[in-house]
Amino acid sequence: MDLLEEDILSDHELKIDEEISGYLIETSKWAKIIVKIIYIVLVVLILLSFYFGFAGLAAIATPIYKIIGKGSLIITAFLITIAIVGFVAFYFLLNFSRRISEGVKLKNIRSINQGLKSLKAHFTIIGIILGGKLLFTIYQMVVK
Amino acid sequence: MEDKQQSIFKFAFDETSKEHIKGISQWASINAIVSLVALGINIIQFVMASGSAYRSSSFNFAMRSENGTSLFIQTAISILMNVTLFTASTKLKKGLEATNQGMLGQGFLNLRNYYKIYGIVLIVVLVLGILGILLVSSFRRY
Repeated sequence: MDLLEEDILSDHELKIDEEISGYLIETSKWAKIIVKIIYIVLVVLILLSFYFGFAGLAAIATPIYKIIGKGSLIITAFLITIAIVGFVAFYFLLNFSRRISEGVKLKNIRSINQGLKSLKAHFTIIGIILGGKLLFTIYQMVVK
Repeated sequence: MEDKQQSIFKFAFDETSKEHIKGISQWASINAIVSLVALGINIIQFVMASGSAYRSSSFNFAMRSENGTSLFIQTAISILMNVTLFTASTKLKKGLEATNQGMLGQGFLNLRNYYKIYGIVLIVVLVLGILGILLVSSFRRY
């Protein structure tokens, strides 16, 4: 009876079958490609921020361009903030990709759980950023 | 040892996985809805600005038309991506709630499709960006 009960219970489990494993592996591959591209863009963004930063520091030393210099430093701070948030958000996507491919290959549910947790964290950060951006857009529309 | 045995004989989502998938589904639907609302606001802003540009001058209107083409492409891609993400989120949630293997599989299929579209779009944008930089730098030489 116990064995029968166990069989019935196992039918109601959500198995990680070949189909789901395949989708998870492909998702992790695409996620890795996305992270690589985003990281390239973020590195360019950081280089750009340094350019603005140095230009700002040079301009701030001269009395005529002091305001332009301050503007450049604000842009630098903004770009660096975006880059840091981006690195953190996409680090979670990279972690998802690594853990999922490892978990599926080794059939290790712990790795898969870590991967899923990272994907949740990635979606959470992106969701908060998108929500903030939407609120800012609505605020701008109302103020205008 | 117990973990190892479990990983060999029973490869299924446990309670922790289900909790994470539920969280993924919730945040994915929030992301999709917020993105679609933002897109709607962008379109409204564009239409309002186009109206005033049409009244001011034909040059401004022509500039707006060019922006309109790019907005149309952005809109099409954004709708495709966010509808795919929303579908993934709905199916993952339904699959979990009903303990439906097929539905959960479809959810993961949609999630894969979302990342596939996302990746392809990024590759195209990156290639176009590099081509644009090369084009601008070659024009500057002459």
